[in-house]
Amino acid sequence: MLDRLEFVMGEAIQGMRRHLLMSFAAITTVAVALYLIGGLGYLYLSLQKYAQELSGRYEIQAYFQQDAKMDKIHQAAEAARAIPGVGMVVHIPKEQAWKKTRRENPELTEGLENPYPDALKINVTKLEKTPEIVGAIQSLPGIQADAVMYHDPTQRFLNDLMKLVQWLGLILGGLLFATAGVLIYNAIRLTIDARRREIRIMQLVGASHWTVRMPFLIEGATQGILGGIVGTILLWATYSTISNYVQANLSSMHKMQPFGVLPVGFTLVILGVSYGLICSILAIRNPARLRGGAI
Amino acid sequence: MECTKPIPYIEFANVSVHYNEEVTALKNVSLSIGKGEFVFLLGSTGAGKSTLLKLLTRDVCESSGKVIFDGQELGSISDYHVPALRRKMGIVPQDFALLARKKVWENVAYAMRAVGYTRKEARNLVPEILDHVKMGLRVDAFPHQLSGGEQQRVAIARALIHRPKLLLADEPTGNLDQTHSMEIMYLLLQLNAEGATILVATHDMMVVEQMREVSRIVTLEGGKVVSDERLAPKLLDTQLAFAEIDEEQVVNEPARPIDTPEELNA
Repeated sequence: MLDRLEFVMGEAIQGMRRHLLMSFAAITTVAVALYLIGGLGYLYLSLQKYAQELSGRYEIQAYFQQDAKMDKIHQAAEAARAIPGVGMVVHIPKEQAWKKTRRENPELTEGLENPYPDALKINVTKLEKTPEIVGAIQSLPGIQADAVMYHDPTQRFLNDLMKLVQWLGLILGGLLFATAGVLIYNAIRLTIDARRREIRIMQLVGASHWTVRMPFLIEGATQGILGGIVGTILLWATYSTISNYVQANLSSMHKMQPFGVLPVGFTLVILGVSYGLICSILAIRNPARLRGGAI
Repeated sequence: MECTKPIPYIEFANVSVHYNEEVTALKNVSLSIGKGEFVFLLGSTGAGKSTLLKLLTRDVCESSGKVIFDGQELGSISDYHVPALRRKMGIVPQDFALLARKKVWENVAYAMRAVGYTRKEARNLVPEILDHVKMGLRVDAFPHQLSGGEQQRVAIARALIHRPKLLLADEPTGNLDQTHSMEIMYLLLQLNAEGATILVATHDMMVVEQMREVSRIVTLEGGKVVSDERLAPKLLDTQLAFAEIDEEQVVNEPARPIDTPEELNA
Protein backbone atom coordinates (compact mmCIF):
# COMPACT_ATOMS: atom_id res chain seq x y z
CA MET A 1 0.00 0.00 0.00
CA LEU A 2 2.76 2.43 0.99
CA ASP A 3 4.63 1.39 -2.11
CA ARG A 4 1.65 2.26 -4.31
CA LEU A 5 1.27 5.58 -2.54
CA GLU A 6 4.96 6.27 -3.04
CA PHE A 7 4.62 5.55 -6.75
CA VAL A 8 1.59 7.78 -7.37
CA MET A 9 3.02 10.54 -5.15
CA GLY A 10 6.26 10.36 -7.10
CA GLU A 11 4.33 10.66 -10.35
CA ALA A 12 2.41 13.68 -9.01
CA ILE A 13 5.64 15.41 -7.93
CA GLN A 14 7.19 14.70 -11.33
CA GLY A 15 4.12 16.24 -12.93
CA MET A 16 4.42 19.43 -10.90
CA ARG A 17 8.16 19.67 -11.54
CA ARG A 18 7.53 19.58 -15.28
CA HIS A 19 5.83 23.00 -15.11
CA LEU A 20 6.88 24.68 -11.90
CA LEU A 21 5.80 28.13 -13.01
CA MET A 22 2.23 27.09 -13.74
CA SER A 23 2.04 25.21 -10.42
CA PHE A 24 3.41 28.29 -8.63
CA ALA A 25 0.81 30.51 -10.32
CA ALA A 26 -1.99 28.11 -9.37
CA ILE A 27 -0.83 27.86 -5.74
CA THR A 28 -0.44 31.63 -5.27
CA THR A 29 -3.81 32.38 -6.85
CA VAL A 30 -5.52 29.82 -4.61
CA ALA A 31 -3.66 31.39 -1.65
CA VAL A 32 -4.75 34.94 -2.51
CA ALA A 33 -8.35 33.82 -3.15
CA LEU A 34 -8.48 31.99 0.18
CA TYR A 35 -6.76 34.92 1.92
CA LEU A 36 -9.42 37.27 0.61
CA ILE A 37 -12.29 34.94 1.38
CA GLY A 38 -10.86 34.12 4.82
CA GLY A 39 -10.14 37.78 5.62
CA LEU A 40 -13.54 38.99 4.56
CA GLY A 41 -15.13 36.03 6.31
CA TYR A 42 -13.34 37.03 9.51
CA LEU A 43 -14.47 40.63 9.06
CA TYR A 44 -18.05 39.50 8.47
CA LEU A 45 -18.05 37.29 11.57
CA SER A 46 -16.56 40.13 13.63
CA LEU A 47 -19.27 42.49 12.45
CA GLN A 48 -21.92 39.90 13.14
CA LYS A 49 -20.56 39.34 16.64
CA TYR A 50 -20.48 43.10 17.22
CA ALA A 51 -24.02 43.39 15.94
CA GLN A 52 -25.10 40.59 18.28
CA GLU A 53 -23.45 42.31 21.23
CA LEU A 54 -25.13 45.52 20.20
CA SER A 55 -28.48 43.86 19.85
CA GLY A 56 -28.19 42.52 23.41
CA ARG A 57 -28.40 46.11 24.49
CA TYR A 58 -30.74 47.06 21.74
CA GLU A 59 -34.42 47.60 22.35
CA ILE A 60 -37.53 48.62 20.56
CA GLN A 61 -40.09 50.63 22.49
CA ALA A 62 -43.67 50.11 21.32
CA TYR A 63 -46.43 52.30 22.79
CA PHE A 64 -50.08 51.28 23.07
CA GLN A 65 -53.01 53.53 22.47
CA GLN A 66 -54.12 55.40 25.59
CA ASP A 67 -57.18 53.30 26.21
CA ALA A 68 -55.53 49.90 25.70
CA LYS A 69 -56.97 47.19 27.95
CA MET A 70 -54.82 44.79 29.92
CA ASP A 71 -55.94 41.67 27.99
CA LYS A 72 -55.07 43.40 24.67
CA ILE A 73 -51.66 44.30 26.12
CA HIS A 74 -51.03 40.67 27.12
CA GLN A 75 -52.13 39.43 23.71
CA ALA A 76 -49.83 41.90 21.95
CA ALA A 77 -46.91 40.93 24.21
CA GLU A 78 -47.47 37.26 23.41
CA ALA A 79 -47.67 38.00 19.69
CA ALA A 80 -44.45 40.08 19.89
CA ARG A 81 -42.62 37.20 21.60
CA ALA A 82 -43.55 34.94 18.70
CA ILE A 83 -41.88 37.20 16.12
CA PRO A 84 -38.58 35.66 14.88
CA GLY A 85 -35.57 37.63 16.07
CA VAL A 86 -37.34 38.88 19.19
CA GLY A 87 -35.89 38.03 22.60
CA MET A 88 -37.34 39.33 25.80
CA VAL A 89 -40.63 41.30 25.79
CA VAL A 90 -41.44 43.31 28.92
CA HIS A 91 -44.63 45.21 29.65
CA ILE A 92 -44.01 48.66 31.11
CA PRO A 93 -47.20 49.94 32.72
CA LYS A 94 -47.85 53.63 32.16
CA GLU A 95 -47.81 54.29 35.95
CA GLN A 96 -44.35 52.83 36.26
CA ALA A 97 -43.01 54.89 33.34
CA TRP A 98 -44.52 58.07 34.81
CA LYS A 99 -43.13 57.27 38.27
CA LYS A 100 -39.65 56.92 36.80
CA THR A 101 -39.91 60.19 34.86
CA ARG A 102 -41.18 62.02 37.94
CA ARG A 103 -38.33 60.66 39.99
CA GLU A 104 -35.78 61.74 37.39
CA ASN A 105 -37.35 65.13 36.67
CA PRO A 106 -39.44 66.18 39.67
CA GLU A 107 -39.64 69.91 38.78
CA LEU A 108 -40.63 69.41 35.18
CA THR A 109 -43.37 66.95 35.97
CA GLU A 110 -44.85 68.86 38.90
CA GLY A 111 -48.62 69.17 38.53
CA LEU A 112 -48.84 67.33 35.21
CA GLU A 113 -51.10 64.41 34.33
CA ASN A 114 -49.46 61.10 33.27
CA PRO A 115 -49.07 61.42 29.47
CA TYR A 116 -47.64 57.95 28.98
CA PRO A 117 -49.55 55.06 27.47
CA ASP A 118 -48.67 51.45 28.32
CA ALA A 119 -45.59 50.23 26.47
CA LEU A 120 -43.64 47.11 25.52
CA LYS A 121 -39.87 46.95 25.79
CA ILE A 122 -38.69 44.46 23.15
CA ASN A 123 -35.17 43.04 22.95
CA VAL A 124 -33.89 42.24 19.47
CA THR A 125 -31.66 39.19 19.10
CA LYS A 126 -31.14 39.45 15.35
CA LEU A 127 -30.25 42.98 14.51
CA GLU A 128 -30.52 42.47 10.78
CA LYS A 129 -34.19 41.54 11.21
CA THR A 130 -35.09 44.82 12.87
CA PRO A 131 -37.10 46.25 9.94
CA GLU A 132 -39.27 43.12 9.76
CA ILE A 133 -39.70 43.06 13.54
CA VAL A 134 -40.70 46.73 13.59
CA GLY A 135 -43.20 46.13 10.81
CA ALA A 136 -44.71 43.18 12.65
CA ILE A 137 -44.99 45.13 15.90
CA GLN A 138 -46.58 48.09 14.17
CA SER A 139 -49.35 45.81 12.96
CA LEU A 140 -50.09 44.39 16.41
CA PRO A 141 -53.56 45.32 17.74
CA GLY A 142 -53.57 48.24 20.15
CA ILE A 143 -50.08 49.45 19.19
CA GLN A 144 -49.70 52.97 17.83
CA ALA A 145 -48.02 52.40 14.47
CA ASP A 146 -46.16 55.72 14.66
CA ALA A 147 -45.00 55.13 18.21
CA VAL A 148 -42.60 52.24 17.69
CA MET A 149 -39.15 53.64 18.54
CA TYR A 150 -35.83 52.15 17.62
CA HIS A 151 -32.34 53.29 16.84
CA ASP A 152 -32.40 52.89 13.09
CA PRO A 153 -29.18 54.51 11.72
CA THR A 154 -26.67 52.32 13.65
CA GLN A 155 -28.47 49.17 12.75
CA ARG A 156 -28.83 50.19 9.11
CA PHE A 157 -25.13 51.08 8.87
CA LEU A 158 -24.09 47.74 10.34
CA ASN A 159 -26.44 45.93 7.99
CA ASP A 160 -25.07 47.77 4.98
CA LEU A 161 -21.49 47.09 6.05
CA MET A 162 -22.19 43.40 6.46
CA LYS A 163 -23.83 43.29 3.04
CA LEU A 164 -20.85 45.07 1.51
CA VAL A 165 -18.43 42.60 3.07
CA GLN A 166 -20.60 39.73 1.89
CA TRP A 167 -20.68 41.04 -1.69
CA LEU A 168 -16.99 41.84 -1.72
CA GLY A 169 -16.27 38.32 -0.53
CA LEU A 170 -18.55 36.83 -3.13
CA ILE A 171 -17.34 38.92 -6.08
CA LEU A 172 -13.61 39.32 -5.41
CA GLY A 173 -13.17 35.95 -3.74
CA GLY A 174 -15.31 34.30 -6.39
CA LEU A 175 -13.37 35.89 -9.25
CA LEU A 176 -10.04 34.92 -7.76
CA PHE A 177 -11.30 31.45 -6.97
CA ALA A 178 -12.47 31.04 -10.57
CA THR A 179 -9.05 32.21 -11.81
CA ALA A 180 -7.36 29.77 -9.47
CA GLY A 181 -9.61 27.02 -10.81
CA VAL A 182 -8.63 27.79 -14.40
CA LEU A 183 -4.95 27.76 -13.41
CA ILE A 184 -5.21 24.42 -11.60
CA TYR A 185 -7.17 23.00 -14.54
CA ASN A 186 -4.55 24.22 -17.01
CA ALA A 187 -1.70 22.95 -14.85
CA ILE A 188 -3.24 19.48 -14.85
CA ARG A 189 -3.84 19.60 -18.60
CA LEU A 190 -0.20 20.61 -19.13
CA THR A 191 0.90 17.71 -16.95
CA ILE A 192 -1.24 15.35 -19.00
CA ASP A 193 0.43 16.61 -22.18
CA ALA A 194 3.90 16.48 -20.65
CA ARG A 195 3.40 12.96 -19.36
CA ARG A 196 1.56 11.49 -22.33
CA ARG A 197 4.27 8.88 -22.85
CA GLU A 198 4.14 7.74 -19.22
CA ILE A 199 0.34 7.51 -19.47
CA ARG A 200 0.68 5.47 -22.65
CA ILE A 201 3.15 3.07 -21.04
CA MET A 202 0.89 2.66 -18.02
CA GLN A 203 -2.05 1.89 -20.30
CA LEU A 204 0.00 -0.51 -22.44
CA VAL A 205 1.02 -2.60 -19.45
CA GLY A 206 -2.45 -2.52 -17.89
CA ALA A 207 -2.08 -0.08 -15.00
CA SER A 208 -5.43 0.45 -13.29
CA HIS A 209 -7.60 3.49 -13.98
CA TRP A 210 -6.78 4.86 -10.56
CA THR A 211 -3.04 4.46 -10.98
CA VAL A 212 -3.25 6.50 -14.17
CA ARG A 213 -5.54 9.17 -12.70
CA MET A 214 -4.42 9.42 -9.09
CA PRO A 215 -1.24 11.47 -9.75
CA PHE A 216 -3.34 14.20 -11.38
CA LEU A 217 -5.80 14.24 -8.48
CA ILE A 218 -2.90 14.41 -6.02
CA GLU A 219 -1.39 17.26 -8.02
CA GLY A 220 -4.63 19.28 -7.87
CA ALA A 221 -5.14 18.51 -4.19
CA THR A 222 -1.52 19.45 -3.38
CA GLN A 223 -1.90 22.79 -5.12
CA GLY A 224 -5.08 23.36 -3.09
CA ILE A 225 -3.41 22.37 0.19
CA LEU A 226 -0.38 24.57 -0.43
CA GLY A 227 -2.68 27.44 -1.43
CA GLY A 228 -4.64 26.94 1.82
CA ILE A 229 -1.46 26.94 3.94
CA VAL A 230 -0.01 30.04 2.25
CA GLY A 231 -3.41 31.78 2.51
CA THR A 232 -3.56 31.00 6.26
CA ILE A 233 -0.03 32.33 6.80
CA LEU A 234 -0.89 35.55 4.94
CA LEU A 235 -4.10 35.93 6.91
CA TRP A 236 -2.41 35.30 10.24
CA ALA A 237 0.36 37.78 9.40
CA THR A 238 -2.21 40.42 8.46
CA TYR A 239 -4.23 39.78 11.62
CA SER A 240 -1.13 39.95 13.83
CA THR A 241 -0.06 43.26 12.30
CA ILE A 242 -3.50 44.85 12.65
CA SER A 243 -4.01 43.37 16.11
CA ASN A 244 -0.68 44.76 17.33
CA TYR A 245 -1.57 48.17 15.92
CA VAL A 246 -5.01 48.13 17.55
CA GLN A 247 -3.56 47.07 20.90
CA ALA A 248 -0.92 49.76 20.78
CA ASN A 249 -3.11 52.62 19.60
CA LEU A 250 -6.79 51.90 19.84
CA SER A 251 -7.16 49.36 22.62
CA SER A 252 -9.54 51.56 24.56
CA MET A 253 -11.87 51.89 21.57
CA HIS A 254 -12.33 48.38 20.33
CA LYS A 255 -11.20 44.87 21.11
CA MET A 256 -10.58 42.64 18.08
CA GLN A 257 -12.24 39.26 17.75
CA PRO A 258 -9.79 36.42 18.48
CA PHE A 259 -8.27 34.68 15.44
CA GLY A 260 -7.85 30.91 15.77
CA VAL A 261 -5.02 29.96 13.44
CA LEU A 262 -5.81 26.23 13.61
CA PRO A 263 -9.54 26.35 12.84
CA VAL A 264 -9.07 29.03 10.18
CA GLY A 265 -6.11 27.18 8.67
CA PHE A 266 -8.02 23.90 8.74
CA THR A 267 -11.03 25.47 7.04
CA LEU A 268 -8.92 27.13 4.32
CA VAL A 269 -6.91 23.95 3.67
CA ILE A 270 -10.11 21.89 3.41
CA LEU A 271 -11.54 24.51 1.03
CA GLY A 272 -8.32 24.50 -0.99
CA VAL A 273 -7.99 20.73 -1.19
CA SER A 274 -11.64 20.29 -2.17
CA TYR A 275 -11.35 22.93 -4.84
CA GLY A 276 -8.06 21.48 -6.15
CA LEU A 277 -9.67 18.06 -6.36
CA ILE A 278 -12.75 19.37 -8.17
CA CYS A 279 -10.57 21.20 -10.73
CA SER A 280 -8.38 18.16 -11.33
CA ILE A 281 -11.43 15.87 -11.67
CA LEU A 282 -12.78 18.30 -14.29
CA ALA A 283 -9.43 18.23 -16.09
CA ILE A 284 -9.31 14.43 -16.33
CA ARG A 285 -13.02 13.66 -16.56
CA ASN A 286 -12.86 12.99 -20.28
CA PRO A 287 -11.19 9.58 -20.85
CA ALA A 288 -10.12 10.68 -24.35
CA ARG A 289 -7.83 13.27 -22.78
CA LEU A 290 -5.99 10.55 -20.93
CA ARG A 291 -5.47 8.43 -23.99
CA GLY A 292 -1.74 7.99 -24.29
CA GLY A 293 -2.14 6.49 -27.75
CA ALA A 294 -2.89 3.03 -29.07
CA ILE A 295 -0.22 0.42 -29.77
CA MET B 1 -17.30 -40.89 -33.92
CA GLU B 2 -17.55 -37.14 -33.69
CA CYS B 3 -14.47 -35.13 -33.04
CA THR B 4 -14.85 -32.01 -30.87
CA LYS B 5 -13.16 -28.97 -32.32
CA PRO B 6 -10.68 -27.38 -29.91
CA ILE B 7 -11.66 -23.93 -28.68
CA PRO B 8 -9.37 -21.37 -30.32
CA TYR B 9 -7.27 -19.12 -28.09
CA ILE B 10 -8.22 -16.09 -30.18
CA GLU B 11 -11.20 -15.90 -32.47
CA PHE B 12 -12.43 -13.15 -34.73
CA ALA B 13 -15.93 -14.15 -35.90
CA ASN B 14 -17.33 -12.06 -38.78
CA VAL B 15 -15.76 -8.97 -37.32
CA SER B 16 -16.29 -5.59 -38.93
CA VAL B 17 -14.93 -2.30 -37.69
CA HIS B 18 -16.17 1.04 -38.98
CA TYR B 19 -14.28 4.05 -37.66
CA ASN B 20 -16.93 6.28 -39.20
CA GLU B 21 -19.42 6.16 -42.05
CA GLU B 22 -16.69 6.45 -44.67
CA VAL B 23 -13.81 4.52 -43.09
CA THR B 24 -14.17 0.78 -42.70
CA ALA B 25 -11.10 -0.88 -41.22
CA LEU B 26 -12.29 -4.51 -41.23
CA LYS B 27 -15.00 -6.23 -43.24
CA ASN B 28 -16.40 -9.53 -41.93
CA VAL B 29 -13.05 -10.91 -40.86
CA SER B 30 -13.08 -14.44 -39.47
CA LEU B 31 -9.88 -15.83 -38.06
CA SER B 32 -8.99 -18.40 -35.42
CA ILE B 33 -5.63 -18.55 -33.72
CA GLY B 34 -4.56 -21.38 -31.49
CA LYS B 35 -2.36 -21.30 -28.42
CA GLY B 36 1.34 -21.19 -29.20
CA GLU B 37 1.02 -20.01 -32.79
CA PHE B 38 3.35 -17.47 -34.36
CA VAL B 39 1.20 -15.39 -36.69
CA PHE B 40 2.18 -12.62 -39.03
CA LEU B 41 -0.59 -10.22 -39.98
CA LEU B 42 0.73 -9.02 -43.28
CA GLY B 43 -0.60 -6.14 -45.31
CA SER B 44 0.00 -2.66 -46.56
CA THR B 45 -0.94 0.48 -44.66
CA GLY B 46 -4.69 0.56 -44.05
CA ALA B 47 -5.16 -3.16 -44.66
CA GLY B 48 -6.57 -3.65 -41.16
CA LYS B 49 -3.74 -5.52 -39.43
CA SER B 50 -3.25 -2.98 -36.65
CA THR B 51 -7.02 -2.84 -36.14
CA LEU B 52 -6.99 -6.59 -35.47
CA LEU B 53 -4.40 -6.02 -32.73
CA LYS B 54 -6.32 -3.03 -31.37
CA LEU B 55 -9.42 -5.21 -31.08
CA LEU B 56 -7.45 -7.54 -28.82
CA THR B 57 -6.12 -4.69 -26.67
CA ARG B 58 -9.61 -3.13 -26.65
CA ASP B 59 -8.31 0.11 -28.12
CA VAL B 60 -11.19 -0.25 -30.57
CA CYS B 61 -14.43 -2.19 -30.38
CA GLU B 62 -15.94 -4.25 -33.14
CA SER B 63 -18.90 -2.70 -34.96
CA SER B 64 -20.28 -6.17 -35.59
CA GLY B 65 -19.19 -9.75 -35.00
CA LYS B 66 -17.35 -11.18 -32.04
CA VAL B 67 -13.81 -11.09 -30.73
CA ILE B 68 -12.97 -13.83 -28.27
CA PHE B 69 -9.71 -14.08 -26.36
CA ASP B 70 -9.02 -16.87 -23.89
CA GLY B 71 -12.73 -17.70 -23.69
CA GLN B 72 -13.74 -14.10 -23.00
CA GLU B 73 -15.80 -12.02 -25.39
CA LEU B 74 -13.94 -8.73 -25.52
CA GLY B 75 -16.89 -6.66 -26.73
CA SER B 76 -18.70 -7.36 -23.48
CA ILE B 77 -16.03 -6.14 -21.10
CA SER B 78 -16.33 -2.65 -19.68
CA ASP B 79 -13.67 0.04 -20.04
CA TYR B 80 -12.97 -0.37 -16.34
CA HIS B 81 -11.81 -3.95 -16.94
CA VAL B 82 -9.56 -3.19 -19.92
CA PRO B 83 -6.44 -2.85 -17.71
CA ALA B 84 -7.05 -6.38 -16.37
CA LEU B 85 -7.31 -7.64 -19.96
CA ARG B 86 -4.04 -5.94 -20.88
CA ARG B 87 -2.30 -7.56 -17.95
CA LYS B 88 -2.94 -10.89 -19.69
CA MET B 89 -0.90 -9.84 -22.73
CA GLY B 90 2.30 -8.14 -23.68
CA ILE B 91 2.12 -5.22 -26.09
CA VAL B 92 5.10 -4.07 -28.14
CA PRO B 93 4.51 -0.78 -29.94
CA GLN B 94 6.25 0.22 -33.11
CA ASP B 95 7.90 3.33 -31.66
CA PHE B 96 9.27 1.47 -28.57
CA ALA B 97 7.65 4.06 -26.24
CA LEU B 98 10.64 4.26 -23.93
CA LEU B 99 11.16 7.01 -21.37
CA ALA B 100 14.17 9.00 -22.56
CA ARG B 101 15.22 10.16 -19.10
CA LYS B 102 15.17 6.72 -17.56
CA LYS B 103 17.79 4.02 -17.90
CA VAL B 104 17.01 0.65 -19.44
CA TRP B 105 16.28 -1.02 -16.11
CA GLU B 106 14.26 1.97 -14.92
CA ASN B 107 12.08 1.77 -18.02
CA VAL B 108 11.13 -1.79 -17.18
CA ALA B 109 10.90 -1.09 -13.45
CA TYR B 110 8.61 1.89 -14.10
CA ALA B 111 6.12 -0.33 -15.95
CA MET B 112 6.28 -2.87 -13.12
CA ARG B 113 5.67 -0.24 -10.44
CA ALA B 114 2.74 1.09 -12.47
CA VAL B 115 1.00 -2.28 -12.35
CA GLY B 116 1.53 -2.80 -8.66
CA TYR B 117 4.89 -4.50 -8.18
CA THR B 118 6.73 -3.21 -5.14
CA ARG B 119 10.11 -1.53 -5.47
CA LYS B 120 11.76 -4.65 -4.06
CA GLU B 121 9.95 -7.00 -6.46
CA ALA B 122 10.90 -4.81 -9.40
CA ARG B 123 14.53 -4.73 -8.26
CA ASN B 124 14.59 -8.54 -8.15
CA LEU B 125 12.72 -9.21 -11.39
CA VAL B 126 14.06 -6.56 -13.77
CA PRO B 127 17.55 -8.12 -14.23
CA GLU B 128 15.94 -11.48 -14.95
CA ILE B 129 13.63 -10.00 -17.60
CA LEU B 130 16.42 -7.99 -19.19
CA ASP B 131 18.64 -11.09 -19.31
CA HIS B 132 15.79 -12.87 -21.04
CA VAL B 133 15.87 -10.38 -23.92
CA LYS B 134 19.69 -10.31 -23.94
CA MET B 135 19.90 -6.81 -22.51
CA GLY B 136 21.49 -7.81 -19.23
CA LEU B 137 24.69 -6.00 -20.06
CA ARG B 138 23.05 -2.68 -20.98
CA VAL B 139 20.89 -2.09 -17.93
CA ASP B 140 22.42 1.29 -17.13
CA ALA B 141 22.25 2.71 -20.64
CA PHE B 142 19.79 5.43 -21.59
CA PRO B 143 17.53 4.81 -24.60
CA HIS B 144 19.45 7.29 -26.77
CA GLN B 145 22.60 5.23 -26.19
CA LEU B 146 20.98 2.10 -27.64
CA SER B 147 20.57 0.89 -31.21
CA GLY B 148 17.05 0.56 -32.62
CA GLY B 149 17.17 -3.20 -32.10
CA GLU B 150 18.22 -2.78 -28.49
CA GLN B 151 15.47 -0.27 -27.87
CA GLN B 152 12.97 -2.73 -29.29
CA ARG B 153 14.37 -5.41 -26.95
CA VAL B 154 13.72 -3.11 -24.00
CA ALA B 155 10.16 -2.57 -25.27
CA ILE B 156 9.76 -6.37 -25.47
CA ALA B 157 11.22 -6.74 -21.97
CA ARG B 158 8.62 -4.29 -20.71
CA ALA B 159 5.91 -6.34 -22.42
CA LEU B 160 7.14 -9.43 -20.58
CA ILE B 161 6.61 -8.11 -17.05
CA HIS B 162 3.38 -10.10 -16.69
CA ARG B 163 4.95 -13.24 -18.24
CA PRO B 164 2.19 -13.04 -20.85
CA LYS B 165 0.87 -15.97 -22.84
CA LEU B 166 0.08 -13.60 -25.70
CA LEU B 167 2.47 -11.09 -27.20
CA LEU B 168 1.22 -8.48 -29.69
CA ALA B 169 3.74 -6.55 -31.74
CA ASP B 170 2.74 -3.80 -34.12
CA GLU B 171 5.38 -3.28 -36.80
CA PRO B 172 8.18 -4.30 -34.43
CA THR B 173 10.72 -3.99 -37.23
CA GLY B 174 9.25 -0.85 -38.74
CA ASN B 175 12.12 1.33 -37.52
CA LEU B 176 14.89 -1.23 -37.86
CA ASP B 177 17.31 -2.33 -40.55
CA GLN B 178 17.37 -5.89 -41.80
CA THR B 179 19.97 -7.11 -39.30
CA HIS B 180 18.21 -5.72 -36.27
CA SER B 181 14.84 -6.84 -37.62
CA MET B 182 16.01 -10.43 -37.65
CA GLU B 183 17.43 -10.10 -34.15
CA ILE B 184 14.00 -9.09 -32.95
CA MET B 185 12.41 -11.97 -34.86
CA TYR B 186 14.79 -14.45 -33.21
CA LEU B 187 13.79 -13.08 -29.86
CA LEU B 188 10.08 -13.35 -30.65
CA LEU B 189 10.59 -16.89 -31.90
CA GLN B 190 12.40 -17.78 -28.70
CA LEU B 191 9.46 -16.46 -26.67
CA ASN B 192 7.13 -18.42 -28.95
CA ALA B 193 9.15 -21.57 -28.32
CA GLU B 194 8.72 -20.95 -24.60
CA GLY B 195 4.95 -21.11 -25.11
CA ALA B 196 3.80 -17.59 -25.88
CA THR B 197 1.37 -16.96 -28.73
CA ILE B 198 2.82 -14.24 -30.93
CA LEU B 199 0.90 -11.91 -33.24
CA VAL B 200 3.01 -9.60 -35.35
CA ALA B 201 1.46 -6.95 -37.58
CA THR B 202 3.89 -6.00 -40.32
CA HIS B 203 4.24 -4.85 -43.89
CA ASP B 204 7.89 -5.96 -44.00
CA MET B 205 7.85 -8.64 -46.72
CA MET B 206 11.57 -9.34 -46.33
CA VAL B 207 11.18 -10.38 -42.72
CA VAL B 208 8.04 -12.40 -43.41
CA GLU B 209 9.70 -14.21 -46.29
CA GLN B 210 12.59 -15.22 -44.06
CA MET B 211 10.19 -16.44 -41.39
CA ARG B 212 7.78 -18.15 -43.80
CA GLU B 213 8.75 -21.65 -42.74
CA VAL B 214 8.24 -21.10 -39.05
CA SER B 215 5.09 -19.07 -38.91
CA ARG B 216 1.57 -18.62 -40.10
CA ILE B 217 1.01 -15.72 -42.44
CA VAL B 218 -2.38 -14.04 -42.61
CA THR B 219 -2.52 -11.50 -45.39
CA LEU B 220 -5.00 -8.65 -45.23
CA GLU B 221 -6.08 -6.31 -47.94
CA GLY B 222 -8.70 -3.59 -47.73
CA GLY B 223 -9.94 -4.88 -44.37
CA LYS B 224 -10.36 -8.49 -45.54
CA VAL B 225 -8.33 -11.64 -45.07
CA VAL B 226 -7.12 -12.60 -48.52
CA SER B 227 -4.84 -15.50 -47.63
CA ASP B 228 -3.96 -17.61 -44.63
CA GLU B 229 -0.84 -19.73 -44.98
CA ARG B 230 -0.58 -22.29 -42.20
CA LEU B 231 2.49 -23.39 -40.26
CA ALA B 232 5.06 -25.69 -41.74
CA PRO B 233 4.85 -29.27 -40.46
CA LYS B 234 8.26 -29.17 -38.80
CA LEU B 235 7.26 -26.16 -36.75
CA LEU B 236 8.23 -27.43 -33.35
CA ASP B 237 11.72 -28.52 -34.33
CA THR B 238 12.32 -25.28 -36.13
CA GLN B 239 11.13 -23.18 -33.23
CA LEU B 240 13.34 -25.07 -30.84
CA ALA B 241 16.27 -24.53 -33.16
CA PHE B 242 15.57 -20.79 -33.02
CA ALA B 243 15.36 -20.93 -29.27
CA GLU B 244 18.77 -22.52 -29.07
CA ILE B 245 20.50 -19.92 -31.17
CA ASP B 246 23.69 -18.92 -29.47
CA GLU B 247 23.10 -15.94 -27.24
CA GLU B 248 26.33 -14.30 -28.29
CA GLN B 249 25.38 -14.50 -31.91
CA VAL B 250 22.18 -12.60 -31.25
CA VAL B 251 23.80 -9.90 -29.22
CA ASN B 252 27.10 -9.39 -30.93
CA GLU B 253 26.77 -10.58 -34.50
CA PRO B 254 24.56 -9.29 -37.23
CA ALA B 255 21.68 -11.64 -37.80
CA ARG B 256 22.06 -14.08 -40.64
CA PRO B 257 19.24 -14.37 -43.13
CA ILE B 258 17.43 -17.68 -42.80
CA ASP B 259 17.05 -19.70 -45.92
CA THR B 260 15.39 -22.97 -45.00
CA PRO B 261 14.36 -24.84 -41.88
CA GLU B 262 16.88 -27.49 -42.82
CA GLU B 263 19.66 -24.97 -42.62
CA LEU B 264 18.49 -24.05 -39.18
CA ASN B 265 18.51 -27.63 -38.06
CA ALA B 266 21.91 -28.33 -39.55
